[in-house]
Amino acid sequence: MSALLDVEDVRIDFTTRRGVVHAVRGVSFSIDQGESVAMVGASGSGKTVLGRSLLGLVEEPGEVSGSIIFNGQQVVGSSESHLQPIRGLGMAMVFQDALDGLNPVYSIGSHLMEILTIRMKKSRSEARHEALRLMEEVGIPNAKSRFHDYPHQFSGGMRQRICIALAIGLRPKILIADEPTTALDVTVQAGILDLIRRLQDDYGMGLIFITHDLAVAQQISERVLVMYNGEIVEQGETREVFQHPKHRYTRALLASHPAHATSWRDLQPMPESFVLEA
Amino acid sequence: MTIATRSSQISPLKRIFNSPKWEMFLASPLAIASLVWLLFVTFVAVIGPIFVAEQANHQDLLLRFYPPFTLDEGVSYVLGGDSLGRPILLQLIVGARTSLIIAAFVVGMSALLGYAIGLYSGYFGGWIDNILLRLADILHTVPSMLLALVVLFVLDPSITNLIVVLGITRIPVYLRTARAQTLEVRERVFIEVARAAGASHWRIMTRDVAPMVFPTIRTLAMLEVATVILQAASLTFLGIGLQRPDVDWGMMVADGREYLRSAWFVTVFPGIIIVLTALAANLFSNWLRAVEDPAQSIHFFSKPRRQKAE
Repeated sequence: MSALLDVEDVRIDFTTRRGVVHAVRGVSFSIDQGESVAMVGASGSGKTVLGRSLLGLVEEPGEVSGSIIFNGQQVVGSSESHLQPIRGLGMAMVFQDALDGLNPVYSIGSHLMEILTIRMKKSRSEARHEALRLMEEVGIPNAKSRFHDYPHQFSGGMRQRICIALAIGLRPKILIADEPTTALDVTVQAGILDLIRRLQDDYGMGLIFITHDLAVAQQISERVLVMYNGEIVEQGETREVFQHPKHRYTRALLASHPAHATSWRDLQPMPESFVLEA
Repeated sequence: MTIATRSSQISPLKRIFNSPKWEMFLASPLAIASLVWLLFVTFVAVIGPIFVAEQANHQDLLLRFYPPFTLDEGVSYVLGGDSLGRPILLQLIVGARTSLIIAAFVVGMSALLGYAIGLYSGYFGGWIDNILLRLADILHTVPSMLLALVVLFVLDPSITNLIVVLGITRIPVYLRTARAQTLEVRERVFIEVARAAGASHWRIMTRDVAPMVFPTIRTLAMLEVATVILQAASLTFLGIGLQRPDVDWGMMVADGREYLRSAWFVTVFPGIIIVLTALAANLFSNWLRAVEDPAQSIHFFSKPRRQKAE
């Protein structure tokens, strides 16, 4: 039986005036319902653009080739109208920059209401109930009194919680989280990670968690994909990969991470040859 | 449930008076003064000419350049008489209607078209954007007065033609602003969030981008009110704008220019009215912009501190 999401030999190229940039060079993986996968790699390794391509969000001059099949439907090369049921309802996405993730001219409540009435076809009163429930679900205290507040009245962490509520409100089968905690400080980070993990369990969603933070990846995923320079250099059970890394890049990555060192002498700088040109 | 009752059961008028915007309005004397002035001018423009149109064009050469601030000739001549002895006060009242009609239609037409085209052009880009932008460039390069001159010379110098010509020449102002801001808003994260949730381009353009651009366009439009009144006046001055017996404020300013040394009041009174109206429009639009922006409106609640602006 085929998996919920099947990615086959995906390549993403950006044609610029100064030549073609191969951002992703032939990546294959698959995800089943309820599974959680972390995609780790340094910045510039192509993980974000890969995440975006899953929803058909790579814009000109980017070009995606290969095959991305979600629930039996091809994403690569599909028209807007074919992508619409996949976006949000099939796979939802939480973005990195939480501070700017909500439109400043609409209240928090109307963000949630809009998505629920239009995408989920709920009546206004149903949507209102559901919006309040979602706000409570993602841990907004006094949801009722904050319903009419505007994004600028929310802190960064709370805005990200609302973005998560917007994503899970559509009951997606897979949640793609693109470094959702990078813009937030460490204490808030832990709360958001807990929230995502809990919601994944409760809703039975698949999770693709994109991060450059190995500790976070280890915490949140069952399986891990290590990306380097547009390719997946290693994938497998998270525990297995972290304990017995096979690829030398993974080994270098782990050796340079403080969480795996008992003293500073154990830390190994990333070898020159692996450092990507920024 | 409180949220449910909020929008449906209270009458609209009550909602205005209970809203925080009304409180902010009351807290801002400038906004009150501007709105009062604008309403007053509009009221006069609508009602006034019904009663005084006849007398406003009554010429009395004995009252040529009749000095202002005396009541000997009745209230009509309290602001003096012009070069043909017509009462300036009544001319102002009749001129208000023409000036406001021209300003409203020109600004409304150019703002609406410029806003819509700018949004579309900025959001979708591509070759359409290029063509539209070059067209705007061409319109901008040809001096708008020259274009208006030629068109009005060929067609009749009627109010309708004046409005259409001025309206078209003012489009680029809004188009460029709307386009520039759309380009900026288009790249923000919440647009991508909307895309990822399955919103169509059309929906994003009208629901997410347009309201972000609107306050700027509105402020610009209010600023343009003054420009348009003056442009209409210049055309009138050159003799191809309005024709007597039609009158607007600009025409009155133009009429008095020759006599500025001997009879200052012929120019100054309509001039003051133009400035006041333009100023009120600007101040009110600024207030509105500040209030509509939720992040800025907080300053209206906090105590005003006299600090040097940054």
